[in-house]
Amino acid sequence: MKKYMLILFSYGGLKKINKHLKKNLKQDDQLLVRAVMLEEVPKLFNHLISDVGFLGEKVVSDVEDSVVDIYQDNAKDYLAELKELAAAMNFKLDKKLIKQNKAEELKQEIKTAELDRIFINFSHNEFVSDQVKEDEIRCWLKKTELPQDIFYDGKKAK
Amino acid sequence: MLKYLKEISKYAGLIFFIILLIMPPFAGLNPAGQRALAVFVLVLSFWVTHVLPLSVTSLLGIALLPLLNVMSLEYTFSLFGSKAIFFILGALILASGLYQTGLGSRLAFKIISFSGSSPLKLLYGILFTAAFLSLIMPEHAVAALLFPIVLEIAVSLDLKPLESNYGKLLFLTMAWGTVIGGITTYLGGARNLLAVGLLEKHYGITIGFFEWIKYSWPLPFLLLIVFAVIITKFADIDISDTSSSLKKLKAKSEARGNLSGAEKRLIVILGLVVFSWLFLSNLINIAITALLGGVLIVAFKVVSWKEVEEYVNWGVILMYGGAIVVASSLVETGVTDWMAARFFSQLELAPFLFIFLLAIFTSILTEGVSNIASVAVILPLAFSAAEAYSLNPILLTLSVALSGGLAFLLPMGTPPNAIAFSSGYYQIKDALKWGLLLKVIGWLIYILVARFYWPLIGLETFI
Repeated sequence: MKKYMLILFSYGGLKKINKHLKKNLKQDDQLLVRAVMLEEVPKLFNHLISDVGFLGEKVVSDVEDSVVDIYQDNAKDYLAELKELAAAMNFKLDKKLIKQNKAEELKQEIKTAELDRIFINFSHNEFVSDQVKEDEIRCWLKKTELPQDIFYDGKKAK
Repeated sequence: MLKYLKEISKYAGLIFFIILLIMPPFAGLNPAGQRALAVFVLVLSFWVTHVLPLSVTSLLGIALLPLLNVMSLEYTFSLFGSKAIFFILGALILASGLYQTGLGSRLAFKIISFSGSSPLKLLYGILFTAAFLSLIMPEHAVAALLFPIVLEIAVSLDLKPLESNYGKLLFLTMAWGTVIGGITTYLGGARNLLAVGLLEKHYGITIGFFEWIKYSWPLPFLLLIVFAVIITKFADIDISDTSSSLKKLKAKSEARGNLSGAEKRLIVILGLVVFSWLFLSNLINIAITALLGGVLIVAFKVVSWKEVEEYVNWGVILMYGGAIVVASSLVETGVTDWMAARFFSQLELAPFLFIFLLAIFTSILTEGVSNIASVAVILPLAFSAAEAYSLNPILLTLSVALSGGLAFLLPMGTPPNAIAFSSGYYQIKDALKWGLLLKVIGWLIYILVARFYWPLIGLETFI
């Protein structure tokens, strides 16, 4: 009986993540899922307001709101999908939506959860992610000795 | 790769700026011209590398020119007050009305909901809606307005980010529809007007609102048809029915009810403005019409001034004003003449080949940097070449502005691409696959238009 954690920064390429979970998880294993909820997209905001375009604040915040809404919807949909997968494969599931500014709490949980392995889906798309926050977790994980499978939008990093 | 190139350009710009300031003037170039060239190189590198926001770089250029004694303070500042700037100002206020009253999204809902229940027809609906709206309002505003609608379609069809091919097509079609439509009029992309503003400052020649459309329309028209054919013949559409999303769109469209009073007033004002642009531009300058239209929509309470301010990013005015000032300094100090004699007259290129290469270079540059910046940096150089080859400056203006608008590949080229990319439904490699094809076809259409259509309507290659 093993204990895994799946951290989701990206909700792209989830079919491949599912495939990876099916390959690794066995009956009675435990999977902790921590779905990070995006609250703002700083790079997109700067890009549209001064780097490449001159969109007004209202227009940019409308676009940003749409991006965040779809991101959060995708997170909730995927957690529901994982629930069905857990029932079908008979593994224990503990899922939580976490705010992106709760990186410290996440690190603490990773430290104390006695995990056997961690899976993370990051994003390469700086317009639908907060790369600074992702980088913080990425660098911290590098320093830990925890076995980890890192994905970028569903594609496994070499 | 692009990141390193930008880093190198940033430092190269600074280094060349200092070298040009301290070294003796080049043969044939006066000291003021050399300093103007130094400012141009610095501003160019900052625009390309985004060291500072585009508008702040423009301010730097405006400040450096009198500081380095290139032009007098009064004259430098007076160059800022061009007709192009005031047209853009008025057009942006008008566009804020379309955005804030919801008339723009009402139009979008209406047109898309007519497109039928097949996936292909829905794509056509988005493509033509995006292109049509980009004729009357800035392309980036159209993309922002269509974005939530297209997201809603994607969600209602349960399309998964990066997995659904149809999802990719939806967002790419939205972005490219606005990009293609945006080159047709002055309203779609203010860079068109910036180009005409530079033409006017350099040669005293202007291009009217209708005249621009007369020159530009074949390029977007043919590109739209080609893109529609590409979707029909080659796109891998992985869903069979879009009726569920169409029902939602129709319901949303109906839920909006009848036109509000503000929308009705806006339609009347826009009708008057467009009529004046098309038929009265000899009597009333298009910039004055744009300003009066802006005044009317606030006076008749279509939108409040606060709403205008929420929509308009005044940085755009600084960017365009700065571009005109910096580019004008090159003409005023004889840099363009010097470059014409020193470089372009030495090149042994057939003039038409030069025009074609210029268009290709602009359309490549515009993928990596803002299309406003690419027009602002290339057009002054192109005018130098116009003098060396005796080329028609109107043709060069069109070549740079139209090519500068056709950014299909990267999100950093133009806001519609960035907005579509922020959906998370596709990766850059997806945009590269079809965008490159569209780009090459765009070049071919451009050659045909420049070679055959423009001479046919009296726009000669040489003067």
